[in-house]
Amino acid sequence: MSDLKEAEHQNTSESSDQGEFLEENAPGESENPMLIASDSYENLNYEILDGTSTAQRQTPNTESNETSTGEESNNEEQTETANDVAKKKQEIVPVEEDHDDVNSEHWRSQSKHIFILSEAGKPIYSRHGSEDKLVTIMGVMQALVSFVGDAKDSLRCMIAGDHKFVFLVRDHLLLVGVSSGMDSTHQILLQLTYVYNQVISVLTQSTLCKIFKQRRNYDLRRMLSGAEKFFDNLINLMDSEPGLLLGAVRCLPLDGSVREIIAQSIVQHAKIKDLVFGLIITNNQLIALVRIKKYYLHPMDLHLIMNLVNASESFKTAESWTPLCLPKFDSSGFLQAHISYLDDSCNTCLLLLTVDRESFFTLSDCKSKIKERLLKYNALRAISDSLQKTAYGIQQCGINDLRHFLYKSKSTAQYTSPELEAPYVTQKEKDRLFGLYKYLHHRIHTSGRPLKILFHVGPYETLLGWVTQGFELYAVFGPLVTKTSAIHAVNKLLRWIKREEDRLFILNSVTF
Amino acid sequence: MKNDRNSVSNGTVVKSNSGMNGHHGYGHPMIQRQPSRQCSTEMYDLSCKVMLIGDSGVGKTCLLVRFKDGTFLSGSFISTVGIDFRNKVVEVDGAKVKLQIWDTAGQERFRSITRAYYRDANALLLLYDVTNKNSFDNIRAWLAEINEYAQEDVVIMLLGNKCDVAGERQLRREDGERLAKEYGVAFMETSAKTGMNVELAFMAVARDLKMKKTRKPNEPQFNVADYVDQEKSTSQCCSS
Amino acid sequence: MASQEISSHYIELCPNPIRFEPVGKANSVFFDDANKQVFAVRSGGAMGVVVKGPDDKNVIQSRLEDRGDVMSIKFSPDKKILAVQRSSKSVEFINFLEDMTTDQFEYSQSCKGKSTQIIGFIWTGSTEIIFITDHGLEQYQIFPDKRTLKCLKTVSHQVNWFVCMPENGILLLSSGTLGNTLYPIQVRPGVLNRLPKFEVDLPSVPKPAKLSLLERDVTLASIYNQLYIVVLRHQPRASVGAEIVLYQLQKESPARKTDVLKLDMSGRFAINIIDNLVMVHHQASKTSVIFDIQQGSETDGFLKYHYPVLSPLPIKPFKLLLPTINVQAGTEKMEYLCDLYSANWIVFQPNIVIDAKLGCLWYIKITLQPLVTMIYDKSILISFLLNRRDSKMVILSVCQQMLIPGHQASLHTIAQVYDMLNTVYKSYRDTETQAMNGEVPQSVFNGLKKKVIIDQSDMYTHVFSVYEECKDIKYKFKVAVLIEYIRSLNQFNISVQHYLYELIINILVQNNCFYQLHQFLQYHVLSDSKPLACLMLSLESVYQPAHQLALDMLKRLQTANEEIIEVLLSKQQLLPALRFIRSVGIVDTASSRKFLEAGLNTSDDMLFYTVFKFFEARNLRLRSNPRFQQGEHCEHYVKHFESVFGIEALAAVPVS
Repeated sequence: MSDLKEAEHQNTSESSDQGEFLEENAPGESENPMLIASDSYENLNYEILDGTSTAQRQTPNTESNETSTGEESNNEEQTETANDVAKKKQEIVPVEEDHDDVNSEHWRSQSKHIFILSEAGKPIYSRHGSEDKLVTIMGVMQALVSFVGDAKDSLRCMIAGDHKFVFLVRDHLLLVGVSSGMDSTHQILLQLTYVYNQVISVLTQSTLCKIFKQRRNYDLRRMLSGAEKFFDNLINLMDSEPGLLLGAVRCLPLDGSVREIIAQSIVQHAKIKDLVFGLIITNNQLIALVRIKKYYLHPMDLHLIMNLVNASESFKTAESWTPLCLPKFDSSGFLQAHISYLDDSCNTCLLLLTVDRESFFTLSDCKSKIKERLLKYNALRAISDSLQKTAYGIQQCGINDLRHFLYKSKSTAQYTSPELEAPYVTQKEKDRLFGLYKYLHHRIHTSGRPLKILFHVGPYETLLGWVTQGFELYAVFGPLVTKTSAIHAVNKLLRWIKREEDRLFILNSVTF
Repeated sequence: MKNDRNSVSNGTVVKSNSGMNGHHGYGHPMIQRQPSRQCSTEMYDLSCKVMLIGDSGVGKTCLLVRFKDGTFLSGSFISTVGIDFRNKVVEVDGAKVKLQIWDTAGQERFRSITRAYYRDANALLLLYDVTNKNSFDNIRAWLAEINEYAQEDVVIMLLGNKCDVAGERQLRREDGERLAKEYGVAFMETSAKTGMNVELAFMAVARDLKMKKTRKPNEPQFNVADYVDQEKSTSQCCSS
Repeated sequence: MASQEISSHYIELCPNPIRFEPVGKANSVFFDDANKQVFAVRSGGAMGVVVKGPDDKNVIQSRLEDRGDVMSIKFSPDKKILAVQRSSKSVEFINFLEDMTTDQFEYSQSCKGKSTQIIGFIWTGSTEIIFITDHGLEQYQIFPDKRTLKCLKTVSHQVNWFVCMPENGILLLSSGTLGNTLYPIQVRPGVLNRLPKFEVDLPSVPKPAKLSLLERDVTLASIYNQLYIVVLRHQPRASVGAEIVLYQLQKESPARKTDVLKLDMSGRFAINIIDNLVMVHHQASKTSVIFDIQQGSETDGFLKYHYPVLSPLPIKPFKLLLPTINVQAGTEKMEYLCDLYSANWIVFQPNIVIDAKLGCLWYIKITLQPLVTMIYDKSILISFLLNRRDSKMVILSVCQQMLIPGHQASLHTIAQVYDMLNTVYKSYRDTETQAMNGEVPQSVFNGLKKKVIIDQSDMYTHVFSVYEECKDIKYKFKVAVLIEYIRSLNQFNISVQHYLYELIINILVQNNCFYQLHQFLQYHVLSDSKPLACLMLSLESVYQPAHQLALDMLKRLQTANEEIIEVLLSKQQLLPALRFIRSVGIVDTASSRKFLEAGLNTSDDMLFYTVFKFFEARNLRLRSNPRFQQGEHCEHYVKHFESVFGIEALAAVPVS
């Protein structure tokens, strides 16, 4: 129709003779993972809707419309729209008392709201504003859900203009997410699930059920007081940390040998009965994880652990001993966590998770020994060096016009991604980029029409998403990249990741 | 609730009767709280366990940080998750006393967990906030809980914290004194911000514990309440 | 009423006839159709000879010795020698000077042979003359200084009579008993070239045989650049109308009978050839008809049969102002209504009528305007007019009339008319090109130049201008007509001038027909051009997609890269601009400064980043260094880039 446009996209219309996607082994693949190979996004939805957890399900993907098997679907779709997919929410402004009111413009203009209320409609948590002032609107939400519920049906989502309202009912709780951002309804549902799991992590599911069984009208805020920061932090994390979206964890890039020393330090000095997991994390990245042979950690639980560490300043002041429920591991009870920082600058955090509630001093002693050994082998130095280098820059990959990417190895439930660099220097641009990833992820995982490859030309960048059995790759290029060169670039990128996989991923699971 | 704490991980019940002094089963070296070499740098003659308790937000962590590091955590409210643990060695009459200080979270949901550690505590610092009537009103409940779970000879000290805040004070010093007298516990007002009486509170506990350990049968019993009354400052200026 | 009168006469006599002394007892009048001169010879010349024509200025007054009645008198083509024939045996010559005075000294040349009689003579050059005798032709060279002639060539031939067409140098000799064997001869200076003879078939052969084809019934004519022998063929029975038969002269073969003009009348006729039309005057009915052999005709496979273009109509009455005879003062003049179709009329080719008794020589002409209403069928009218001289304005006015409500013609007719106009236009242009390339002789082209050409600017100025004047033409009709015209131009592969497109677009825009406009452009009904693209750009404010249409058009033109870049940059469409320069392969020469400036002007740092990186990559490719050179004057933009994204965001200079 329009010659100019034709000319522009001439290169992109035919893919066969312009470079092939090499379906080689996924870099970062491991036969021996330490994390539960993260659910495909579709499975997660299935689970959410089902109300069951993967732990209890025997065959997780018999019914799911997974595309990653790649057998039935050869879905390749490209969008060449100039749609402004990049419209992004405003900055999050700290809530002030004046802004609490439902009718205030400030409150209404927030791009994402998350509400937790009890089955009885009692407010438990709101991301913005104070719950007390939101009694009425929460009542409306409860009414909507119960109205639909009366018809033996369930309310899953409503879309009104730019806003999506997503509802999740679990164990006496009603969680509602309202977003005017890039999130898809499934993504919001995933976020609500995380929030729900955070509740479980604080209270355990059995406590939660017991409380509401005794008093349907209970004000759960009493039990959650002091935990608001976990919700706040988790929700903020979901707006900036791709790991939660991908169901994967990022590792701090380290030489394999250093990582081995770190893991062995834990193994050697914390080989204690009832210790289930020992892990070291930093800045939302995993450094090492040691586990009892028969147990695996689910990435979702690991995210909650990271959130716990992230959200609390108090761990920086002293060794802590705190109960912690990992919903995917066991939603009915607490593990006891010994939490301490290994370095003075409080970057590297050791967590020792045990079922023994009395072992504080034992673990405190372990910590000292681990720290001693890490100091001895200069491992802490290596960690802080890696942190200072801010992971790695995109330039290290040496690929022209590639601006950023997310690469998830499915088998290890780990992902890697370079630091955000120019042009993503302002918060606004960072948020916009994350919105693009959400969009790309959503388009690829749309349940009705899942895709293997998506090439999307946007106004500021070109996106390429590629999902195979072994990995998910989301790459962001400059807007002028051609399809051919983008394909060349991702193939090159995969080779680079393969070369770097020892550094970027934890490929060997260490057990006690 | 108690069972919940113990039954972890897929139905495996782990008994934990041995408490803090117990050792942990097969194959593991026995970890001892005492003998004296916990850390090569810290030598001490005796150690004791101090717990900070009280409602959320009354200033337990601040009081501890002031005592341990001599600084005041200003700015945002840092609420403790679970129990934080710190050591500080102080000298009482030439003897080194190691204080193991357990800083607990004040929130209700941690109550059942922290409660379990009362039994091992040698001293309890029970804090309320002089600008928060509610936290004072809850003191009776806290004392009842102590009565139920703690050792009989536990040293209890009631502290009215944030006494530097003049304008918003809701409780007079006399209110605290009256309550302390009623329950027969030591009392003073403290300020983590200015440091008033903070050192004294911990030193009094250390002295009491040292006296208990070293007292010959004929010596008079050390009365911490009296000691505190002598030493504490009631003015707004620092006395530590 | 006046206009009514005008419109009923399309044949006129010229308003200022050449006047001469009427034929009388003492006065003879001669007409030399070679020089178009009228000779009034009084008393054999003794009383004077007055020569007039073809225009009134050159009146030659002279005298001849009266040596008997003059039979024929003609100047040489350069008017230096006057030839006078007074007998059937000889011709006399008188030299004339520059000032047209003469020494009165005659010299003479007799024909050869005793029994030979001179029928007439014709000049074939300034000093060359041919005598046509009953025995043939005698060609002489004249030496005026010596006052002698030398015979150059003689041709022996039996001749009954001859007709001559001096303009084309054709001489036609009648031979044979019946006179119907005709010999065309090409006569040019020094040349006597016999063309193949042919016979004119006669309606009936009288018994005994006698001369049946008469000189008066045979005319030589040049019609549509072809030479014809025009033969008036009287039918033996008066009930059957007379015919005019056209024999086309051939170079290598006998003249071919090609056309028959059906007169449907009988009686006395006279023929003129005017503007390639055969005009036939009928004395009895005092009417004239015209034939156009290019107009549609019937044919039997060999001959074309033509009927008059119009019903017979009289020549427009002619009033002559004459001094009154009765009034003494003599200053007063009287209007005298001339007798048309009079018996005194003599007709000369191609368009001359002489009334010898009245002393008038007229040129006959056709006025086209009245024909407009007389010929109802517009396509016939236009095809007729297209073959006429000076018909341009008439054609244009007809075309204009066809668009005005009340006179509006159907689109079908309009399309037909436009096709006709463009057929002519196209062949003119083709010949023009061929002539310029030397593929056809310039003369052919010059001949074509005389034809009426209606080009696009004529149509625009004189026809479509009516759109402005006449407000009640429906815009749909306006557009449809223009589209028909454009369609016709395209059909003839004539490139359409942009002002026609502009006109259409303006009409569409004025009537908010943007969708139609869009479609026209999309289906290339309106062909691409830079001016059109610019017009589209200017329409963006009223019709937003016009911008894209304009860009697409510029792209298709393939010669407007700079314009496309400018347009895109002015719209802050930096990415399309970059993709464009990449697609047409001009990245290396594009001005980085221009793009960076446009990038900066968007206040969109992300866009600026992309532009900056694009040119960094280019620099790297061209010079193995991503930095901008001094001459590119990009320091300002580099500074901006650094301030927004940091110095480390600049591409690394490769270590060599």
